[in-house]
Amino acid sequence: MSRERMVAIVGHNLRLAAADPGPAVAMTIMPLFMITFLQGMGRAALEADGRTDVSGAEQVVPGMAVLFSLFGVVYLGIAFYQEHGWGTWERLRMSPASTTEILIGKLLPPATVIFTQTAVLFGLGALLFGLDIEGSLVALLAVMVASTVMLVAVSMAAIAMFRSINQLSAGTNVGAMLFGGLGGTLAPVDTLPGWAQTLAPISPAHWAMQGYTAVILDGGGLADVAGPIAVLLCVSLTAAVLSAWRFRLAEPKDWT
Amino acid sequence: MLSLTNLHKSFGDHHVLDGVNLDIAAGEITALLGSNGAGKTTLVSVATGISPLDDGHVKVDGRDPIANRSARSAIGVAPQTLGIYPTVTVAQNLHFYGRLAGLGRRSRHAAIDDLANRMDLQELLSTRAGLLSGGQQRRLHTAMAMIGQPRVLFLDEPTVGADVTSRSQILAAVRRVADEGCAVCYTTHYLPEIVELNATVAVLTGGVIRHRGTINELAAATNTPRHDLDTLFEALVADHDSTEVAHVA
Repeated sequence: MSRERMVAIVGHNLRLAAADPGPAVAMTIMPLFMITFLQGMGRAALEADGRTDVSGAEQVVPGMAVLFSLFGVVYLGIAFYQEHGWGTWERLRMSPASTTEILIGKLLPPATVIFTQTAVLFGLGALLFGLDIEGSLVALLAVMVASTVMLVAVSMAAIAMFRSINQLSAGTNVGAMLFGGLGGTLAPVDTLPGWAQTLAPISPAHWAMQGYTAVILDGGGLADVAGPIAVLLCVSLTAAVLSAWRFRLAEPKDWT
Repeated sequence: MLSLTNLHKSFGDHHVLDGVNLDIAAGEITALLGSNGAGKTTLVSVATGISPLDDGHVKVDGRDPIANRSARSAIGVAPQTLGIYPTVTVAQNLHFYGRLAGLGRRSRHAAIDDLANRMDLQELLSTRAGLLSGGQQRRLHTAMAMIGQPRVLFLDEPTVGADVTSRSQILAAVRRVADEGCAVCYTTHYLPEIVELNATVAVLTGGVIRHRGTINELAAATNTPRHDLDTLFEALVADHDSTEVAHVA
């Protein structure tokens, strides 16, 4: 593996992302709108759940951060499907760059953007919406990293499965709403219908929310988020195995 | 410089390449001719390692670029389909492929200046590639294949859609890299380009290289006037029932 080539691919993909910042900006602005509109509902939901002295940001900030990071699957996908649309994927494959260099080079920039988006949301949540993080910031960071790793792995599996960006987009929208809802990003799991509470643990978003809630509301540290992080990493491993089995560099993809 | 030995490639029951042998020397431009569907693009795909070979060997400067990816830095490829990054500048497109080929900063800048001059792109280096005209994009597409200063260059119909000026600039740039010692495999349907490039010819038909030589040699072998390129081409691709490969070079 050549460090120089990987740096070149990462740098180039950062330039591509910077040249078209719309999706990244939208992914940060939209959750801010949602947080504004849903904060009151979040407070009511938390109070109904027996929590006191809450602003509602403790639910909606991590909720929207997790929900919109799920939509980030499309953002990661764009980095791949766009190359097919531009005719550059074939060129890249003909270059000296190895599969590993190409994959890391293409995944790292959007993964960094998604991680940063989550960090910005927590930061603005504290500044603008009164988000008070009771527990360890290191633990919060650990959940953010595990969530991003999970998202990258799930994205790769989705990219491996879907032939076109339209299919990926449709699949992501449905999946993000379903798993985001089940995972408690829109309302605490305790307030969901019984069947949804039963199914909640199948959603990776549930474990990300468990981790964030442990830190933000319960004042937890690293030990308290170890369980959710372990589950997120197991999901990542499963998705990585699936994508390693299914992903083919030579498989054509449609940008439309 | 480039040595293709006994290349086989099938799609289902269709043997597209059925034992292709082709050597291109340093400084030689070989025009790869064949009817539509003869397998020219497939040959480029397997020789550059993006499509797996069923059998055969590819050597570039004695190294196998399929088994050894780093050997691909000696290869430049401009696929048939236009492949440029439209949202970044012309210079950024060239820098990226220069870096992938392993050029350092200084040699990359020098190579970009040189290529931009040859391809008349110097005024456009800071322009977004998506804003270029069709001909300018074709020139950039070809320049991206040359930026790594390859030892072997595959150009798959590089002048398709290019205007007269762009076409001349591309041909001049191809001639110059060959003069500098690069072996060029050039697929085309525009036969006058073969003469302009002073290229040798390899005719791919029936899954093998059926004819190999200069225009003069092939015209003599087929009793065709050398200036009547269309008739010559028809004669070369028509006798694909022949079982004997005519090596006239």
